[in-house]
Amino acid sequence: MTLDFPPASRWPAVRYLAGFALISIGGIAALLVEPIDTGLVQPFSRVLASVSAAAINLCGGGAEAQGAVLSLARFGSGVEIANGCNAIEASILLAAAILAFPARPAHRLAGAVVGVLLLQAVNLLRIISLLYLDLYAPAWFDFFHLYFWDALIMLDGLLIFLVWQRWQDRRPLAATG
Amino acid sequence: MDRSARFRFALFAVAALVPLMGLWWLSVDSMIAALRPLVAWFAALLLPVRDLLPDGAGGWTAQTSLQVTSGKWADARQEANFPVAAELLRRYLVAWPFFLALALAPPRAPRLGLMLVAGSAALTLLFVLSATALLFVFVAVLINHAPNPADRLQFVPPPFYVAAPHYSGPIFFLAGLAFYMASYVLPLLAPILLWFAFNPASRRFGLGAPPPC
Repeated sequence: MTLDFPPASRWPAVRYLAGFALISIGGIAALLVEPIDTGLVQPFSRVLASVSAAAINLCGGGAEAQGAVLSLARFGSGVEIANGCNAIEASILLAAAILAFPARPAHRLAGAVVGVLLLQAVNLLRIISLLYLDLYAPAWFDFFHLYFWDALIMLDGLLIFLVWQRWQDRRPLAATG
Repeated sequence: MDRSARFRFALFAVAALVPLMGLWWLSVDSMIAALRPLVAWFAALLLPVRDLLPDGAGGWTAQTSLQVTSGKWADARQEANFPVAAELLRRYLVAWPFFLALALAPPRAPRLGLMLVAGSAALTLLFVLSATALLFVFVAVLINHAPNPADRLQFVPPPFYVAAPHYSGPIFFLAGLAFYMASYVLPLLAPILLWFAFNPASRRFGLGAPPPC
């Protein structure tokens, strides 16, 4: 399915943008509600720390996760996965972009789930790289932490969306119910 | 738009982002300094902020017209000031290298010059609005004397009170939401929206719209 822009009617595009804005602003606003923050976002950050530690240990890195703090105990170095570092915002935007798109519901759902998982996989790389950056090049930590990786994660989100859009566009029409 | 075009776009955009971020890092504090008067003027229209002064570390000190009424400095009859860290302001300008990386990646907009000029104007406006949203949440925390849900560690009330009527609960929440959107969403979403708006090719392979007749 595609979003046509015939000169006579731009309603599909307007409807898509409105749906995207509604889902993304609603999702971001939900992050500020305390029960969601403490009940979902913070536990998710702790899971990210544990998964990052497991991934590092798989490669013999000797990492530990205590709560949302990921550390390399033998070096005395660590990073905390705070709000804004868990790629939840980018995940919400990606999910909103896919869910609002006029495609089959199953394709949207699959795209949102797989897309967010891919984005979070990239975010794991971000977290692990920042842990080692803090250890070996702390002067560059802020640049990569606050700015560079954020832009890269969003660019990844855009690329995932473009790949999904092409994928769903090429599904056989017979499959559309 | 075929697979190779998407791949070329992805490769170019990622590769361009690296040097552009480097250039941005070298110039970002100058950009913040250059835009300070514009933000100070705009914020003064909407908020009890009298002026923004450079703090010597790339950030600003916001001077408010809010009178301190109780607390440690109450007897000095002074107005409340607060620091605005450069780290926060720089975030709002990350949109620039990201926008340039998207704009310069093939397939480019047919009128690239127009896209760059209009995009730069839009991102300048976005910075002014974002910085004002940041000032708004600081002012809301000062006035309501309560931590804002947008960041309960950063936006904590100071050890004094100011004389001003409190913002209502929804407005206080909106101040936090505006800050959150301005800091974590818009600097990275705006370049993508601009790219879609100004580049018909991006709409063709991003949204599936047919090529123009």
